[in-house]
Amino acid sequence: MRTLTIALAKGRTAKQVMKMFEKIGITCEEMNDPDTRKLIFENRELGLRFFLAKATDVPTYVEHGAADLGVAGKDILMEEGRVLYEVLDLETAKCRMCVCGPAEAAEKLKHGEQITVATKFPNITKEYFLNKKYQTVEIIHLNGSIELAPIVGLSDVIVDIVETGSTLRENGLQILEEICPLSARVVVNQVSMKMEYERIMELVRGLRKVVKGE
Amino acid sequence: MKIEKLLHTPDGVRDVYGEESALYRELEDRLRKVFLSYGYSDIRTPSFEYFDVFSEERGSVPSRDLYKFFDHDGNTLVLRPDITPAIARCAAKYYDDILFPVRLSYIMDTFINHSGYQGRLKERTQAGAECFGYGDVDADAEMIALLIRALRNCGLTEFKIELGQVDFFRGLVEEAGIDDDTAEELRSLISGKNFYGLEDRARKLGLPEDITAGFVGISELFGDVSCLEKAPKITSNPVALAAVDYLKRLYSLLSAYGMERFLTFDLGMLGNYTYYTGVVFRAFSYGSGEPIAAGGRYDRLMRQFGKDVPAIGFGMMLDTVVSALKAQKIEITPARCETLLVFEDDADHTSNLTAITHARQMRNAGENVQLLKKTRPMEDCLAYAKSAGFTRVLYACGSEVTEAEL
Repeated sequence: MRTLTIALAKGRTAKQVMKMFEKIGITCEEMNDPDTRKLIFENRELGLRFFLAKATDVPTYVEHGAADLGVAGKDILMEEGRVLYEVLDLETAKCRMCVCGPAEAAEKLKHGEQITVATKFPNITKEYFLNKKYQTVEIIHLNGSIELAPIVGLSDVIVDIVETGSTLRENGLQILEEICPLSARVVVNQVSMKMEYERIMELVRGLRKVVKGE
Repeated sequence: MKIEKLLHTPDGVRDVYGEESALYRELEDRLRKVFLSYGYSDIRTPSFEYFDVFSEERGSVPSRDLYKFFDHDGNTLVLRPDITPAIARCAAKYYDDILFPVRLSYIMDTFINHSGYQGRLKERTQAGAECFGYGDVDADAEMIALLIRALRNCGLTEFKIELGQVDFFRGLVEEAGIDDDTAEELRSLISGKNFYGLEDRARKLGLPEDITAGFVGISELFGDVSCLEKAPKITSNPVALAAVDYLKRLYSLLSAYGMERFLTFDLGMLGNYTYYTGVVFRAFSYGSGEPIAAGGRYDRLMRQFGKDVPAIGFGMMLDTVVSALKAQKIEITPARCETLLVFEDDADHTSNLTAITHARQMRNAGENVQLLKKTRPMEDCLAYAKSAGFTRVLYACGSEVTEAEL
């Protein structure tokens, strides 16, 4: 049996996803050791191998076939635009991609005038403003603490992930428009899907049952 | 960042030399033989052409990923990102009346300006075949048989050819009367194999039960030939069912070629369904993250070049074939130079003349031989011979040529 390699985004998502895997009888003892510095974990009996990668890199591993399947956030899949199969919505790590800013910035989103948008997701931002809203925007790419940008006057609005909205509120910002809902998705390499269809679909069917609480 | 430009190749292109280059050459030789064995004649088109030939309705690559430049008259030119539109253009121009099928094959480089740091090559060699003016299922069978033969002759034994038919989806879309955006949404869910997402989305559309069942049921039309039997239970759409019957006929023809064991089916393969008009297929093997080859029927393409004739073809990327061969540890031994002829560096050049005469005779007899003037001690020459992979060393001294111990 060929070993199937699964890429997970390290951190909270990995823990949530591993819980889902446990419910369908897939465990990986090695991974539960909090002190481990290992990068790859193996379950030889099931012919599975897990590794933890930075969330944004999961689609890259899967696209190249270095991992047969992976779990990544919809935000990253949209931003990266990789060629892979997105087979299942795990309905966990739910949040939304939103345009946010101070209340008075709402007016600027109405008239198609050129505005400045700060974001970690330039591709999603471009797609939304240029192809959906038909508004010309200048995009400023930032790597973190995006909420700062409109406060200190770097941009008019931001495009970012909103989970509870508390960071926004504490900083006097609000959701102005919702771009799309987000959640963790199972993605599969195109070739792996063909060559290992039954094994992969068995995993997917199992996870779907967990998602639906069956 | 300052880089030493004199030594390095730009991102996305690479040198291929030594054994690897010989491997590519060997694969190309084998492919040319296979193409010829099916009566396909070789064609070459220019490396760059007018932008319009490869624009979005004809090409497979978005405009921003093309290498563009201008000629003296201000026309936009592009390095070819893809081969098929170029060959279609060429065939439309050179063949007045395509009364008999025109069969063409090629091995040429393609250039795509991917955004950087993705581990993708920007210059890749593609081999493929096209057949114009032959619109029947037997033309499809021949094209797929040719692809299978080509992959086998490259040394691959474990691979799958997956067949689909875009009319199945098209028939359902027409019957449903949904708009292009909705159709695109469903297409992307189907071809992304997001079957649960598809089911949710299709149910929300509020279409008649039969059509919804058709869209959702595409996921079951996947696997070996027996999956096709499920089609009548999934839909009663005549276009969709005709598409399935077409695949059955194709299967029986390919069985006559003795190639049915390589075939699987996937009616959800809808990569570019507005471009393709009938059968679509892709080849997969272990060890390469992307399909090795892809193709299909595109009967509307030639019309854009002013000739209304049907067409089918495929293209395969040689570097993915090489990755698959390497991953599967399949050894290909290309022809190589076996003999090193070392000659003494004497003042009157006697040894040199002996070596030249001897090498000439060997080459006339079809043998490969490299000459080496002995400017270093013999043991160094022997070490060089070993490291460069020679299997035989000859030594010319005066008028004598002797066998040297390697």
